[in-house]
This record gives sequence, structure tokens and C-alpha cells, in this order.
Amino acid sequence: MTSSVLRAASNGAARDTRESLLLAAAERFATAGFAGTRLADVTADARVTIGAFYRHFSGKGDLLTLLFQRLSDDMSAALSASDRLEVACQNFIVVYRRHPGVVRAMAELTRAGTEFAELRRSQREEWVRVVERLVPGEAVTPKQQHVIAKLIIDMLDYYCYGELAKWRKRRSPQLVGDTIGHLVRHGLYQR
Amino acid sequence: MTHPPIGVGPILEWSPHPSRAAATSARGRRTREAILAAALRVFGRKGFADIAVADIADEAGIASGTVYRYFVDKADIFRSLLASVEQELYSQTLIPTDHDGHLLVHDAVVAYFRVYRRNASTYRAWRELLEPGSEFEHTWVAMHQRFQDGIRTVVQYGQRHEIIARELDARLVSELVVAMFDQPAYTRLDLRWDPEVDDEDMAQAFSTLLRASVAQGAASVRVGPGGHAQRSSG
Repeated sequence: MTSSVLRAASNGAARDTRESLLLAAAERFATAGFAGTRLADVTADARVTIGAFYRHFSGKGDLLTLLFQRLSDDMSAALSASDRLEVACQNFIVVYRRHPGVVRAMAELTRAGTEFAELRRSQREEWVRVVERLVPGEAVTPKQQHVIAKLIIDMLDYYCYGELAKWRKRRSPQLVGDTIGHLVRHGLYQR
Repeated sequence: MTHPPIGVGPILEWSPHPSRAAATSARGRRTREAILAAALRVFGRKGFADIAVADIADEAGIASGTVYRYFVDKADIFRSLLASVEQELYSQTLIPTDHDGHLLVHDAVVAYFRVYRRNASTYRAWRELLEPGSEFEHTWVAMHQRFQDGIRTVVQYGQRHEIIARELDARLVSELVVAMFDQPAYTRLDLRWDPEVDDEDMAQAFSTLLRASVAQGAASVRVGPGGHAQRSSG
């Protein structure tokens, strides 16, 4: 075999290794949290040696950073997919449900005051910027649009976390999105 | 308009462990208060995990043995702090309704943030302890469940009297309202992520979403983040 074919084969294998490790980590974070996840378990699940692990990643934190990047990319696309607030909210829930390990680990590390908190903070700012434009602007000031967008993002974050932590059972994302839309457009009380 | 009676008290009752002394003398009470105040300061500075009873004792300027006279361990101390947070919420943050049954949120929201700030150390430690399956997670969930139940009752009442759209899921609305109180308080007051947003901004946003009436009137049902609702005369 020529060296370029060999190289391509080994790059494919390298990608598989990385992917197996990322997926294994995501699963473990979901069930055991970040601190509770041992690297030995991740590598065992992925059927990868610890040496091979360190060829691709520098540690658990590195895994989480990359996994969080995936959630962020997913979320940015999801929130920009529609010009309706209801749909953006619905999509937020769908994205969080796709990344339970990341959500749990990031919440844990934010609570612990680590640098991951800053990562979350800056992503949240981005998501607020997108949602801001979807808040109906007729009856509220731009400042209020901003505040309401933050409120919605925080509300969704907490709501989804509660679902993940099994504080309550799952609901249809569409129903939740529609309800938030109703509150924003009409408020709780009928005229 | 009369409201159905919905009276529930605070759910977190702290009392000394059977093997520990109750602080019945004035000096005992002062010591207990000093321990709790010291614990608040230490939790505030370093969170829950990293500190020991000895740190709390040092902060209070007393011997560890004295702390152990009244409390079993740091979790016991923390549970006592939680009970007093709940007590404060209960008394400070009732959301009155006007005589048409509309929630008057503005003042209650501002009061809630005041309570949150005063108890910031406890909230911060509590959040830190919110690992799935922990004892403190259970307490968190129970307290929020109470708040939710109160809001849900008010929403259902409003639906029966056709001032709230019947197609809304009352339970879902109550869950969203709880989320509205809790997470923004955490991100803004604990994590301090939103310096551009103040209490008044938040109170206005709440009022918009809950479309609170600006009419003044006698309160007939009061519901609050302490997880309670009660009927008052009026």
C-alpha cells in the first residue's frame, strides 16, 4: 500500500477512536456527572487504551469542552431555524435532550465555579442575542426584549435540567414552546 | 369572589438531633446563632464541600466541641440554614392577588430577590449540593414542588373563572413560573452574569409575562416562592 493510503486508513481509525471516546464520555457524564466519571471507565467503554486516549485528548475537561462545542453548534442552528419564538423554545428543548451528559456536567462545573462557567456564560449571551430578535417588540422596549430573552433562556435551561434530573416527567417540546409563546404574547391573564 | 382554602406551612422543620442539646438558655441560643452566622460566612466564601466543622468553629471563635454540642455535622448545620431560608421566604414573599384574582407580582418579585441576596451563601451552597440523588436535591425539589402547587391552584382558579385561558396546562405554567423565579436569581445574583439587568428590570419582565393587573385591591389568596398559599380576609 502506498503511504497516503496508509495515512488515510490511520486517520479514519483515529477519527473512530476520538468519536468512540467522545460518545463514551457523553454517556458517562449523563449517568455519573463530571466528577463521578472516571477516565478508566470512558476508555474501557470506548475500548481504547489510556495511551491512545492521551494521543487525542488532554483529559476529561478536554472531552467536555469538545462535547460542549457540539451542543453549542447544535443550539445556534436550532435557535436560528425559525423566526417564531415558540419554535425556538421547542428546539432548545430538543437540543438539550440530545446532550444530557453535557448539560449535567456543565451544570455541575458551573456550580463548582470552574472555568467552564465562563464557557457557559458566553454561550448563553449568544443564545440570548438570537432569541432577543424573536421577542415581539410592539409592547416592550429593546431593553425589556433583552431581559425577557434572558428570562426565557434561563427558564428553559432550568426546565430542561429538571426534566433530565427526573424532577418531573417529559412533555412535548411543542407544548412547552407554545406555552412560553402564549405568556410572552398574551401574558397569563385574558383581557 | 371567594377562593378555595389552601393553607400549607413551611416544610423544612429543623430541630436538634436527639443526641444534641436544644439551645434553650439565652446563652445557648446566642451560641447557636453565632455558629449559624459563622457557617453562612464560611459557606459563602468556600462553598460546602471544602469546609469542615473546625472551620466553622474557628470562624465563630469557639471550640469544635461546642459546635458539636448543638449539631451533628456540617450537613446538620446546613439543614438548619435551609429551614430559616424557607421561613424567610414564607414570611417575605407572598404574591398577593387583587380582588379580580390577578397575581400582583411586582413587589413580591423584588422581595424575593432581597431574600435571595440575604441568603446568598445558603443558596450558593445548596446549588453546589444539587447532585442528583443527594439529600439536598430532595429538599430542593420538595420546596419547589410546594411553590408550584400553589401557583397551579391559582391558575386553575383563574381558568375556572375564565380570566386565564383554559387551553393552558396549569401544571406546566406553574413549572415555568418556578423556573422563572429560580434560574434568573441564580445567574444574576449568584453567578453575577447579568450586570446590565437590575431588580426593577426583572420585576417588569415578570409582570409582562404574568400580565399582572396594576389594579390595587384586597388580597384574597396569597402564593409565594416559599411554597405556600393561604387565604386571608378581604
